[in-house]
Amino acid sequence: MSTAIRVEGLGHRFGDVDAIVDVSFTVGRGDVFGFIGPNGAGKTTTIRSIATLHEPDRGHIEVAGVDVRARPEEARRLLGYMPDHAGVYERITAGEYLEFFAAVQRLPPARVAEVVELTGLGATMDRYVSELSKGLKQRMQLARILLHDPEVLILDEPASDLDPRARIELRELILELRRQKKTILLSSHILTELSDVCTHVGILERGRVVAYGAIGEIGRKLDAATREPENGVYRRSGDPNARSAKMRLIGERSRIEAVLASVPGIRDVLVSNLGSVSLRYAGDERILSAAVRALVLADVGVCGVEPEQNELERIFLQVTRGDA
Amino acid sequence: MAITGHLHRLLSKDPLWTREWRASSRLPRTPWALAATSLAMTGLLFAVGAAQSSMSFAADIGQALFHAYVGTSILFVTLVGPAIAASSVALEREGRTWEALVMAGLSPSRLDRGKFLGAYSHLCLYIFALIPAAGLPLLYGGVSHREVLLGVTMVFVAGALAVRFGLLLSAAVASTRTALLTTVLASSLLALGVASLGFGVGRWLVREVFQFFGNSDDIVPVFWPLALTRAAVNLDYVRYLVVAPLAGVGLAWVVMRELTLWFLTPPVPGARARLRLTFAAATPVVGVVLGLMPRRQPAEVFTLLGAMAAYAFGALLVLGGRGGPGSRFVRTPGAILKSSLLVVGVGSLGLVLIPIVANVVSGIASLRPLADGESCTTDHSYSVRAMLFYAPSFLLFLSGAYALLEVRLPSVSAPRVALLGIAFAAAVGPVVLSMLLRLANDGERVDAPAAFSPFAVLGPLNIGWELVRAAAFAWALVGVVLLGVAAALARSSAAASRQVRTPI
Repeated sequence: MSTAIRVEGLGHRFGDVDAIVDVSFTVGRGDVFGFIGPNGAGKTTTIRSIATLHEPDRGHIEVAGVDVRARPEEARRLLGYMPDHAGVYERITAGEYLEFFAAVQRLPPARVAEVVELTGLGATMDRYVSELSKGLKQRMQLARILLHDPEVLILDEPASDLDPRARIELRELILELRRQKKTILLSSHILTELSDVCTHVGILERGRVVAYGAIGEIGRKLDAATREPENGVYRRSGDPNARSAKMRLIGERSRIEAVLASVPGIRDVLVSNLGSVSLRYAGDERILSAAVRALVLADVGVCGVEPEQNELERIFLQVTRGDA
Repeated sequence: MAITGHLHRLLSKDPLWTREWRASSRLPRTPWALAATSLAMTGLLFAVGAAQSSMSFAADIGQALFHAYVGTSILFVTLVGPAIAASSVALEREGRTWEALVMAGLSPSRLDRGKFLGAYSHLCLYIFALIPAAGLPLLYGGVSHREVLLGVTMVFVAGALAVRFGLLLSAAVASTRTALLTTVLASSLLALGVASLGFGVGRWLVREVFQFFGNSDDIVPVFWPLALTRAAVNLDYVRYLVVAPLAGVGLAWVVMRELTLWFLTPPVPGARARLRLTFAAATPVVGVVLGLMPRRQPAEVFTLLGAMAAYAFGALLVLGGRGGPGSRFVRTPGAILKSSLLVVGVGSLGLVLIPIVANVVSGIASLRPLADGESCTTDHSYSVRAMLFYAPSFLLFLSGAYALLEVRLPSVSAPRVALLGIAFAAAVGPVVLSMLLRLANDGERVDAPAAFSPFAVLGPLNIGWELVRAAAFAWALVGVVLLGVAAALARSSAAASRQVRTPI
């Protein structure tokens, strides 16, 4: 697969602070790449550098083969960048807003109609921007960056400050763009949402990329790196936190506790009076599968099983130290 | 309809202008502000008319109304124009819409044009609201319709320069609040300058100008339209009333536009090439403009000192210092030395060139008899020798001061503002002091070694070579010390940053 974004050895200092130390990663064409990191990890500096809006001290950035630092104008034509908390012009209508940016880029007016159709903004075109909800403003911003049909989209915290409905709508829009084979670099703090749309992730901490690649692949690598057989039970070396899951079961409390305690890898079991069971286990999801099988064989009714953390959250907690 | 259609076509060619125009015309306060402006001007003219009603000649009342109208309108646009333009670029930056414009590929020149047209058309609404009152002087006579039209033209030109000035400030600073505060301060000073031109220096200047025409009319404070229609057309007429104003306005326009474009250009390699070219091209033009000025003290001294200080300030900004707002700030001892050498070398050449050109122009074109013991050749020789000796020393001082300010002050604009203050204080301050002392000593002359005193070739302040040498040596010594301190601070800062950079 060809590369849409290539970042190599990126570094930048603000005064006495190293914002980014050594950031390197690649994003393949058509990937939806989630860019994750604690506050101050250097996400926005990296993203702004890719978007040609920040000149880093060192490093090399390419977007679709174009050297961003050497040819920023050309790179901008390939990029659509939506900053976090981006501003809008309040005293014009949504239609005028999009027409303005189309005219600035010398695009035909028909292009506005196309992106309005794609983003579902048709009903808001005659409304003043100041009257639009945050969700609609975000969609309008997304429409703006789609006007010139860029190959690569960079969305910095697009769902921040949005209500649940607006988040769902935005997620659907991003999934639609993914179906259209757009390459998307998406930064967010909301890991569950990222895991819904992203094919790949990069995790940044203290100005360095600590993990990147396909989500499943990183998970497998982490599992392989952290497994240590100990008396037939998998344990995460150096990390006392095991993975956790919730079950809804029907059966006697003592029996449930006994069955689950007998499953290799299960660490803690907490059974509530309402039939909800919280358990902690070390290892992969095969342990959960074994637990379910043991419960069924012991004639305990299993109504539901769900991981308490999704895969991305687990990866994030495992590779970051949380002291950015 | 045809005008509306033409305006629509014109607007459609510049999307930024269209958007600015729409946004400003939809402000709820706009119609009220326009009505208040029109009412205030009418009230003012009514008051002036009432105060002058005891005059025996209606023509005097007409002329008083004309001066009140044009003078107040120019003061108005000087204050309001920059305020309208001030928030334009700063608001984009602060409101986080700037990135969208940059990413849309809007070039600095398109951005500048759209922003200027947007702010200027907004200001023009106010000027249009003032225009009906311009007809009142014609009812009384004393001024012709051509003079009134020229007066209104002056208001439009002053408005364009005021908006350009506000746009420059807006592009230079990062926040809207700073832009507005700076603009209010700067435009107030500008308005004071305009007022002094009308009632103080201008009154004196116009008498001097009119002496050339053999006309003793006291037509102040708005003298240009009246002089243009009433003076006899000769070489002085062309020099003082046509070429000098056009060159002055044109120079101010070009310099402010280029500086604005510079501030709007991302800090990439070569971003300052165009500005440097403009700066180089403007240098002889400054000399021509100064050469065309009337040769009378003390205004010529002030003008020349001010121009020299502005040139030195410009040399530092264009040739040295940072690359632009928000640019990466890496100030190393090597970078300090390199930019200082550039400033001292190229800046000194410019400072020598300006008076040479001014002397050549005034020597060739002047029809005025020279004062006793004064000759263009003597002046020329004196100024060139003095400047060759003196300019590098003073620029070395300024360069050192700027390097130190840049190393110590975290913001981009603070060192520039501080430097501007230093340049003007050093250049003009002692002259002001000497004038005050002269007043205190009952008119007895007191010389003071202003930074550019030896350059005041059109009216030297009788400063001997010993004083020039001593002053030059002092400036150079202070400059070297400041550069050394700046380099040491930069080195220690770099060392500290290397310590922080240790692996995490």
